[in-house]
Amino acid sequence: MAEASSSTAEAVVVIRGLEKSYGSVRALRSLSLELAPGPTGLLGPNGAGKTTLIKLLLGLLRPDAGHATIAGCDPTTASGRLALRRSVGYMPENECSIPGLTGLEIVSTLGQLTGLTRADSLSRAHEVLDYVGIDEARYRLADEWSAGMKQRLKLAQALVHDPGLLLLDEPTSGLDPKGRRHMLDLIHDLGHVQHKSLLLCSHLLPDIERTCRDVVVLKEGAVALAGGIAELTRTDGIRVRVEVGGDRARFEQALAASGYACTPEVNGRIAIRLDGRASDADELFALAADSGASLRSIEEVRSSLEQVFVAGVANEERT
Amino acid sequence: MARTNTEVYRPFRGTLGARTLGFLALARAGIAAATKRKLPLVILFGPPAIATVIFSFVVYARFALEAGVTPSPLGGPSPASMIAVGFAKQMIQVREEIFMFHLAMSLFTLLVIAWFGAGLIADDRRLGAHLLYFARPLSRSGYLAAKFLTVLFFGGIAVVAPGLVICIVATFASPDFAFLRDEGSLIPRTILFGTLWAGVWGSVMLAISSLFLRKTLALVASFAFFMITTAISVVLANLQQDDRFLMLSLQMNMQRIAGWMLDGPSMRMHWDVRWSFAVVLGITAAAWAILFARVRRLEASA
Amino acid sequence: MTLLVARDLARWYGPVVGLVDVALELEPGVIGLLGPNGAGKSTFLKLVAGEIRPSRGTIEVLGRDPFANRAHFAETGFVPQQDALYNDMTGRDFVAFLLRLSGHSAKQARDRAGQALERVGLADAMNRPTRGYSRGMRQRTKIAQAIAHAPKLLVADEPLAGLDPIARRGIVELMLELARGGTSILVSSHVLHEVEELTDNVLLLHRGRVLAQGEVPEIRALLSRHPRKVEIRARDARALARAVLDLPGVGSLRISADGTSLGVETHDLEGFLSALPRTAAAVRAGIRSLETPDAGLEAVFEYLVS
Repeated sequence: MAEASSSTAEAVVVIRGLEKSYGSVRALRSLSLELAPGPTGLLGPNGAGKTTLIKLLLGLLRPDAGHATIAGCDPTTASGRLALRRSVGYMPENECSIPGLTGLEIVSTLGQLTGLTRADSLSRAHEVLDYVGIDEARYRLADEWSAGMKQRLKLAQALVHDPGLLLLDEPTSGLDPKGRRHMLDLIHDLGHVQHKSLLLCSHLLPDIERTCRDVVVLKEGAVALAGGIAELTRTDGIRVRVEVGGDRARFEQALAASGYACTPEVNGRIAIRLDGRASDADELFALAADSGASLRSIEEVRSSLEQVFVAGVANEERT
Repeated sequence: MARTNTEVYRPFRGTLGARTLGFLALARAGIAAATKRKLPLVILFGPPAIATVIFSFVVYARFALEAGVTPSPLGGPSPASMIAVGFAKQMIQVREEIFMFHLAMSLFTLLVIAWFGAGLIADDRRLGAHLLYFARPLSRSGYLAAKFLTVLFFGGIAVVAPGLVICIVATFASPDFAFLRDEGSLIPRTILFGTLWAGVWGSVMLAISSLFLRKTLALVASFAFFMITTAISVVLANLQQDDRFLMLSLQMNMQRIAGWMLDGPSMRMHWDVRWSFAVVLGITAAAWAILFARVRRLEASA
Repeated sequence: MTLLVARDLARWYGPVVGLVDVALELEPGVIGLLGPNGAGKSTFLKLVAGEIRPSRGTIEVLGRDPFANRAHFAETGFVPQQDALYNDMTGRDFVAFLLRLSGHSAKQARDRAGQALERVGLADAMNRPTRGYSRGMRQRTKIAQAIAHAPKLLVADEPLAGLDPIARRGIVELMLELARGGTSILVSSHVLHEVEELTDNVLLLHRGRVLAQGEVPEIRALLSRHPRKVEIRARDARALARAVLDLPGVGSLRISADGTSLGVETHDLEGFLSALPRTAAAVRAGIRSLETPDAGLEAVFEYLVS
């Protein structure tokens, strides 16, 4: 994994027209998806097929129809399904642990099960436990660890074989604010600095915005929306949202007098359209100075990821 | 407490092979997990260990006496040797001893297999370990093979080891290794029977373990299985005055097989040993059918 | 009337401290209860709910002692963290059953259960056994049973756990609606940005004590040890840096490597922001964005707890 990611790198996962049904329930409907290298968020309402997709990416189920290449392996054959698990790391959402073993033994055993030699597995286990921030506790039984440490253990065991693709399912669930921050820092590091491909499954949109570049939205077994977060949340034209302090009324008058198109917003801020006049906010500062107002915050108006998600899920219903 | 992450992630530069015997790591881990708590080991293996020592001594004493009484300086049998001769006359032959040892220890050996086997799959299900295992290139058979090896290991220690120890003592105690010449086949037969015993009961224990979420429930269920089948078989045999009803009990069938393999006394069991093999085979097959079905579900829920 | 009054409140479990030295007065409204694991949040919630009594001191909720108090239970709704639904019952039957336990008639219970479940978005699913519910649906059923009897105080422990973004939005809107209608809400959560959506008023616990209480901006202003940060993105950050150096309270400046971003630390945020427009207009450094990154709940929490 020494190559840096580039936009011309191959997609880690390529899926075309995948079908999977459980009895009469069609869990995946003609799903087509290409996962570019790097961190991607996976969103979707409950029951949209995320769990089924994850099982497919882990080689735990055989597709009914369609074509898929996951980390170079073919999940339609039994050997392919076993092989791809060597290149995929999974951090489950639910509590999971191996009974009766220390944290170090757990990571080391799982490493050996993935194909590392015993010696490699032990040294590697130490490395990943260092990375996630577990110290002497690694020599204690994992059953006795705190919730935050158990969560980090889950990440460590997913990393022990240095997979190219990591599946992280609700990685911050149950963590307190400090733990969440630490976990998100680690995930950000893995995705942006270590250039791992990540698929981050979460209901917490700010987590995804913080750590992912791309996003895939599933609905009813198919992809409703996919793309880069930056592109999807971009809006037409340059608009800024400002929070005004001081003499707000005079400032708004000055804006109107200068011909700026403004829209007041819910939380007391003002959205101002800039394009054609200027590409930055210097002129706004001049107006504020003359009106006895101050600008407490200026941010580019973008759609929120939540709006993108809601729109994406709604669209599917109409088609 | 969470700390700022200052460690740099290091990529793995080793090789990641497809090892067909990879599941052995799981067996090793199972043994390591079970041996962490020393108290159960002492309680469960203590009595069989003590019994092994006692029986070995009896064997040794018998051969020592056969080699001749030590002449006393006073020119007559010493009081100690007279007591020993009397004791020796009560002694039975080595092969019968191994058989009797097994009978005497059967409850303990069952306890050992139950204790170490009951939680093997139940605890995995309860703690969600299957979520971690099946995300690895580990097949269902690999998983089961590893679990089976773990329970076989402990069952083996409980049954094969004592028998082997007694045989080894007999070998060295007998003059010119006469034991090896006369009864040498007893050694492989002991090993074979022990392995069969551990394998059959281990399979049953694993199957029971796969049906429950808690180790204690699995233990209760296994004792229930053992006692109910034995009780019913004995009661029916007595009521109907027909010893063949004893074949309902797995324990009784194993005793019949033990008697046949180790040339022990047949006690109440006079039916054809092939029946017993059939019953044992059937039960083992049923256990493995249950195991494969349960592990299949386990993998699907991963 | 005040929502909650605690005087010298303490609760311990053998030698382990749950809460100690807690004295506060909370006004009606929405209050976020925050703190690291083991800080005493669940102890506090249980005391408020009336499940346990204090080891020392007093607690009064809506004017009464909450412990084992039927009147208190009638006016309070509790959304627990654990899942305790009866799988064989339908959602509606389950909520109605709980209502009957607190004294409603069968018809009243059924009606109110139906209304509550509709409000949380389970209108279709309420007549199916809860065994078939997804995690999000189970969560919403718990919320329904807490609001069905129109309580004056809603106590919620991680109410948004397991909900997908759309359901999450729905429940946040529901809670804001309840708050506008006069219901007080005490919500405990680890997900700070969700708490921020609901309220500015927080109660922060740490190691069994109250670490901070009040509106987040006010708490922030009290943390004078931490100067206020202002992050500005501009075409020419260096020129801007030279210009703002003399503005009120500026203690340090940091320019990014590519020269497009300026970080300012100041002890006088208001003075700085008032003086900035004239300076920015004069230097014309091409400012694209401005934010105060450490004014929010996450930063305040971080500063207080570390």
